[in-house]
Amino acid sequence: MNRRRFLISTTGLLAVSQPLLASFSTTTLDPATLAGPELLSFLGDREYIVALGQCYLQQFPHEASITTLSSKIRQQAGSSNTHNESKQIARKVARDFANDETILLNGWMLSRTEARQAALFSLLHS
Amino acid sequence: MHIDARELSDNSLIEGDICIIGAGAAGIAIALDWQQHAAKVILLEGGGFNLEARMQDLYRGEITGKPYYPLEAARLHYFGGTTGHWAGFCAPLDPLDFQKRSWVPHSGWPITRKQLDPYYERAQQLVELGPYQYDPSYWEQQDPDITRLPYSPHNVQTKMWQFSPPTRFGNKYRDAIVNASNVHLYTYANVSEIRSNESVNSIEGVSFRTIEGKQHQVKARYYILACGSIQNARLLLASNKRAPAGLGNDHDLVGRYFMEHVEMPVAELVMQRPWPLKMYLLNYGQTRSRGELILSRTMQREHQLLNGSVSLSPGGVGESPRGTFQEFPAEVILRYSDEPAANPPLPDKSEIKQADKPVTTKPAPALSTVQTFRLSCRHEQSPNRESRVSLGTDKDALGVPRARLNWQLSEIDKYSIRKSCEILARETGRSGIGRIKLLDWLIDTSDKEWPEFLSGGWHHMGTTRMHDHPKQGVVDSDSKIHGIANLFVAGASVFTTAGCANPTLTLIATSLRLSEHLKQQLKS
Ligand SMILES: Cc1cc2nc3c(=O)[nH]c(=O)nc-3n(C[C@H](O)[C@H](O)[C@H](O)COP(=O)(O)OP(=O)(O)OC[C@H]3O[C@@H](n4cnc5c(N)ncnc54)[C@H](O)[C@@H]3O)c2cc1C
Repeated sequence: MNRRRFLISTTGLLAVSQPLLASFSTTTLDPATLAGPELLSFLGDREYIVALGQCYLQQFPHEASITTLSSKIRQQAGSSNTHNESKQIARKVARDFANDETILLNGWMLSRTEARQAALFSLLHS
Repeated sequence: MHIDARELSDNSLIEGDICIIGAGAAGIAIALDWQQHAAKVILLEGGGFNLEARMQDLYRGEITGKPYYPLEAARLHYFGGTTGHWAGFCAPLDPLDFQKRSWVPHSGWPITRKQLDPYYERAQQLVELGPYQYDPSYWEQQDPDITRLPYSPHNVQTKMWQFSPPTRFGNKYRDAIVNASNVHLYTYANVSEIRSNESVNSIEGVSFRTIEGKQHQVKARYYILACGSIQNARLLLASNKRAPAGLGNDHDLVGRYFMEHVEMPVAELVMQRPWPLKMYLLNYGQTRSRGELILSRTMQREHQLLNGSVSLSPGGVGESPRGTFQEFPAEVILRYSDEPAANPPLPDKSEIKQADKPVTTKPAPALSTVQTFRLSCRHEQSPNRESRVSLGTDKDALGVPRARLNWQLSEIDKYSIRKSCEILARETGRSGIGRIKLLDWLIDTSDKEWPEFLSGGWHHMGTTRMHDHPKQGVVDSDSKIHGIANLFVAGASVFTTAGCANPTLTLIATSLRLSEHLKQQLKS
């Protein structure tokens, strides 16, 4: 895989991440929202996130369904509306790091929740 | 006083109190310390005052272990020594580096950081640094833009470095040495043999040669070998007339435990939002101090890790990561090893960097606008008996067997780098700074191999290690060779372990400590 294509350079960062973020915030409480990782959009483009997600699914094939991943991401994150939910997820991500709920995906040290978001994103977009 | 050894009549005998072999950072630091002293100091330097190809050629050697930099380009053979190339990065070793760590085989110096502190303070001045202050909070107080990243100090800390201009000892101290009436500097005086008495417990003299074929002798009360780690071992091993295994080598330790700092890109960091990074970014030639990230002592203990630091520089790693050896190829340095007349001034690291990587010389913004950073490590390697300098079969123009370098690393070395990066990556997420991606060579835990861009920092250490017991070290805590009354070693070859700090500040400090010891000896 050509990592350079996926790693966002300083200048390319906004250009790539804006449409990606926009696509994340159109619906409320649906899987597409849950798959909208706040930070993942900084890590790479759509294709790159899909690849990260697939890497997660290879390690945890039993989670490979939209329902399972959505519910795991939501668990303890709470959910009310899109705005709150993204805040809740951000808090959950922070909690993951605090509790060592982390995972190395293609070299990235991510919170388990972020990794699941990437996996959900990959199910929705590949 | 300066004497060109080529102009001496053949077979001259020179007598004095102290004979220092090698005028690099260590040798010059000691010689300066003896200025205006009653003792007569003889300073023997193999080269002249400039870089010359035929002198560099005396440094050529064989590489048999892990790929290494060509030995004739990894150090300099003229007055001032390798400070003609050095980049000036300075930091003291950490207190933990001196201690015995159960998880690091052969660790534990016979001296402490506290004992070295007064000498570090003096070494600071010789390399033109600021105050002997390495506490990050000191630097934070100097400039409000200098602040630490918000890591939990229980886990990740900032270790400070200071930057020498860099002091080129050859230029800076030539006049002081030449004008010191009690210091007799001989240039083109290549020591080819250190001669012991019959029972090999005392040195009777040293022989030095000129490339033109003259040979001379020195007799002194004390001898200090200060030729750099590879050359110190080589000279001891080659001085084998009365001690067949070489001087100080009764326990087969001379040349062993050669250490380098592993200096390579390890990861990329993407920051979540802009952080003030003035503390961490380097404007070569301007920055007085900078911080690198290290794991706390507690973390090193808990995870049984070697010491290592990680530096930040703007930009990603790119398709093909390069270590220091690839960034500054030998051709660039060797280009400058022609005859003196044709010699342009030596490039310093900043110039090479400028041509190569303009991004690192741009002024660092107080608040980082860049969000992707390259993380590079400078990591301690564990002392490894198999990593060694020995004598090759080929001889140099003076008839001295060339050095053979077999650089070896151990499993704990790669494990430590990987684990440290993993912990740093987790802590970076935990503290909300951003996310870290480990480079491919660190991802697979079962992969024990090193990538082809394995690099060191041209930091040669440990070939005459310091230990109280002759079976575990070549020199004692006074840097005296075990079993030989009047032969001392100065330089990073005495390091027992390497820490993650560049070696020159520490080697000057240990040399000054040795110098003080000799002053006491001469008094008594
Ligand atoms: C490119 C580069 C960058 C570096 N950057 C840094 C850095 O940023 N920070 C840092 O701490 N260190 C750095 N170093 C390492 C630093 O240069 C050395 O640690 C330091 O110069 C070693 O000092 P020394 O006196 O032990 O040896 P040297 O400086 O190598 O001096 C040895 C002297 O002995 C002489 N000699 C050798 N053999 C004989 C003989 N047979 N007879 C008589 N004289 C002899 C030599 O000509 C030389 O003058 C760097 C090195 C290189 C190559």
